[in-house]
Amino acid sequence: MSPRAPFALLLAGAVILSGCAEEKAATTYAELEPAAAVLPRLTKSQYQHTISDVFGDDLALPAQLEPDTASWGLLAVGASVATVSSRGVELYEEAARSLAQQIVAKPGRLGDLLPCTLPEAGTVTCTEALVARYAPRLWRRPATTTERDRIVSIAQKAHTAYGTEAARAQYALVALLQSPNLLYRTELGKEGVLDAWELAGKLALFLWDGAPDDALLAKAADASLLDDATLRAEAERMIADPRFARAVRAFADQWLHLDALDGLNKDPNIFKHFSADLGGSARQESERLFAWLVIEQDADIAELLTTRTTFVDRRLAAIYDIPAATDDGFGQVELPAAGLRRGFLGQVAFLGLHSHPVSSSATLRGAFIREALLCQQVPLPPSDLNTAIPQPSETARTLKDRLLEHMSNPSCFGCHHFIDPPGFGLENFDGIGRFRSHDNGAVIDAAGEIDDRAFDGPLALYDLLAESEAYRRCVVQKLYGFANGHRVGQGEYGTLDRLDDAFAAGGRRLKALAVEIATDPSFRRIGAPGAK
Amino acid sequence: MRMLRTRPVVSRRTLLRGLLGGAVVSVGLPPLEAFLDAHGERYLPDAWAAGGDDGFPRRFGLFYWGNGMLPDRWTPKGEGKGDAWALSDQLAPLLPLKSKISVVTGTRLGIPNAVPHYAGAAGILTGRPVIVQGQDETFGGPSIDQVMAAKLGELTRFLSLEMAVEGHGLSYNGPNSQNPVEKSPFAVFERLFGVGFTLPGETPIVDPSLGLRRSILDAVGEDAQRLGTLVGSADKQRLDAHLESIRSLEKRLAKLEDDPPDLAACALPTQPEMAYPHIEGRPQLVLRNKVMAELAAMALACDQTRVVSQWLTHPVSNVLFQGASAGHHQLTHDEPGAQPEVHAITVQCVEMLRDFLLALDKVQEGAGTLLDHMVVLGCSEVSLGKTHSLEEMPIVLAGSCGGKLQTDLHYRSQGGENTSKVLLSLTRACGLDLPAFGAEGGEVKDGLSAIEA
Repeated sequence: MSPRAPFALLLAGAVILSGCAEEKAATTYAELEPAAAVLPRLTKSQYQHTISDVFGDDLALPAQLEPDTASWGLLAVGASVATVSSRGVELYEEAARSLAQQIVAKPGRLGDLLPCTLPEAGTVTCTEALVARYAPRLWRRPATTTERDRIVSIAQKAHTAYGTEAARAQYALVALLQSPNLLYRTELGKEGVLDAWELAGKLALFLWDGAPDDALLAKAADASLLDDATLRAEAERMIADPRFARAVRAFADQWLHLDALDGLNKDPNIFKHFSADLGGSARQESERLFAWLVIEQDADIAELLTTRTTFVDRRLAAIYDIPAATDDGFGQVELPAAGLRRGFLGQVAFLGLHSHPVSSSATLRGAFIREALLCQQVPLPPSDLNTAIPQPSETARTLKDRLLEHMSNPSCFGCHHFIDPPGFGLENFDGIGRFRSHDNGAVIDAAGEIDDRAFDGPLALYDLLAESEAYRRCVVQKLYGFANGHRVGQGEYGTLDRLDDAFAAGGRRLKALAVEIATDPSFRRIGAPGAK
Repeated sequence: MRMLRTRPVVSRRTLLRGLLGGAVVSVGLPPLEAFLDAHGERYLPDAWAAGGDDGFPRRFGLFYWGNGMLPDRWTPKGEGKGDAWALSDQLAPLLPLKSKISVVTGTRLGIPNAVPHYAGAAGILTGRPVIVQGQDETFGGPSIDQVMAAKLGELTRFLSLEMAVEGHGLSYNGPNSQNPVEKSPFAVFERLFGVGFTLPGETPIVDPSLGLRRSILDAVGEDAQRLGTLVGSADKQRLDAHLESIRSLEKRLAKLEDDPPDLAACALPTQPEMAYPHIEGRPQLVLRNKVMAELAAMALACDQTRVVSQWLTHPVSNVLFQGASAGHHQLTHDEPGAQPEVHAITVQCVEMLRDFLLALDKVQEGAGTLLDHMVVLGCSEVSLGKTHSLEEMPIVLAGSCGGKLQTDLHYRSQGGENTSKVLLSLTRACGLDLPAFGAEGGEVKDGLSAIEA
């Protein structure tokens, strides 16, 4: 699939599709038709967290791994669609070898890996113990006898070749780390329901973005996790654990396209505040705000678009024209009440990324708001049309006026009328996110309308979006897709309606939504192959 | 054993500096004479027998830039061979290599222009229509570099090498299976010439880890195969592709074990810098391209791989070129008039294609050069960026693949022939025996005989 953004975000065609606008019944919900099983490959961050959960966080993780690609705006969904590339197989092999070598080289580690007392050391039993101990955490289930014996025989060969116990442990680990049993999350199930191991693994990847711990594995081993109350208690325990923050960040990265910030580039002759590490700062700001709102504040998700709180370093503070809270690193600040900057839409991570290297773009910003925040599909841009927007003129000096002139052409109107207006509301921020009152010498008029509701300026736009049903339902849809690794199908609309109603009634809190998604039957049940 | 006279031009005295467990190891090379027999001729290892008639392996290179060109200033004057044609404004930088290149103009992609840029990229690289999945797009089959790698890469340490000077690449194994690109020259160097690399003339070290790695891949493959029997058909296909890549790696390791490459032209390239920071918000494209070209040349000369793709920029790239007032893609749409800035950027792209080719041509192999023993396809996804046109596709071919292709030729297609014909000819020149290339409107069963030798 295409790497995020470049192809679908330019100018646009005509069809407006709503992502989740099924009519819902007043009190009853359409019965779940479970989606077909998926086989997501672990994302890069899930792989890395799994390694550090099991072996400690002092390993040099592989610099390059098979990259994640998005599908339907989420890497978690892309992971179920993408096929491991030929280079990816080489990279996983290199990673496994490098990690195993480091793990075995850690002082005192060998005794852990091969937990055998002397008379048994060097025997087959010893490698069996290694597999019995590490397979459940790395593979999220125990190894079968066949799988175990294969690893034992490899370890034996390594011992023969090198004559050391370290080699035995090292090659057993290389085999464990490269296995598809680690690289893929399986949903084989029994009679249409995930088994306890698969459920535990899915929970750990969703709520911790990493490996299950011993407590969770114990509940898989005795199958008590299949009991509703136990499952809910585990989910509650997991969101209270510090590892939940990793999942929250991973979700923010995917939903808000924060991973793309590493490539942020601006012309420094035009944007004097640009520096090569600005993208990294901007990503941190948005991740910190998101984690703070969700975990520490347990806030209404509307606040993501309306809060005056943010976290800045000196570089971002200069762009926002506010004092930095600290000289060193990031500090929490309140944006001025009199200003127009609020929440995520007032951050460089949004304003700078969805702009050109030399100017702002109401079109790119509008397309992101439609697609990512409202789950609306922006049509593909036309292929054979000249899509140039008019040059500045006496009658159309600002970008907004030029785009309005562009829309006077009927073949441009259909899409631009849909895409650009939310972007008009943010024209008071330039291509890097600095406040401006004028564009090309003319006063900016940041009024617009979105889905027939007029707004006058950015503050009104934030409120309109934050309180909209489309935004709320989009959050539910995105977190559901993140948890389950597939595109939402029609058979799940009733489930989404129910989750959405609970979300709305509970004050739109993401933590509670995560628990509801994890304990919902849709998290456990799988349909026949090919089911939608 | 084949015998061949060789004359390495690159220093053989280079020290091997590989990072082994963090320590720098230096190994001096034996003098060249050690590789030669009594008559000053050199034995070629068996792997070379899989190459062309002259004993040199066939290789393929792809050089890609995004956002097209300006057809009016691209198309050469005159048609035919030698003096019958002259380079155009935009192709002028290729003058030093004119005798080794062919330019094909007037062809068109036979696939629908369903998604701007991306349809063209899928069309030129796979000959197939782009697959649109909701908001996402993917290629319908392997890109030309991977078509070539499936055959040419069978015996080398790496199946293929993908490098991006700026942005990302579009090397696909098949739908939804995209090869990651190396963006750091330093990482490319480490991968190719760090641990696991043997310079010609070094005594091959018996490495038991190669056999163990194969045993592990075998076990991993069995896990993948078993899983494949338990999942739905779409996921089985994904696992089958994964399994195939595992088997391919296993085979290549086996080859390394019994016959490591040993080529005279091979020498260690200069170790690149750790980073090449932007200057004035502009990436150092020219320098990065040159450094990567040197690495590509030695990757091929040392037979670490036989397929290289160099992605200068990607479709829709909005990178700031030297001297440009806005991003490349934005300029192709919004620059008014004759688009002098777009023209200047296209010339820069062709200059960097020239630098890439010169690095390959510098490596002497037998009576010819590395470039003579391969073919490089230079292309983009559209002709005129402004309208995303799929007519008049830009195609530069360099090298004759050991005499299988014409050089110093401008072939102008009069009837708007399908661009896939060029790609089919390239696969045949490289020794692949494909009955057809592409699918649907992009499918052709005949090559372009005018460019074949």
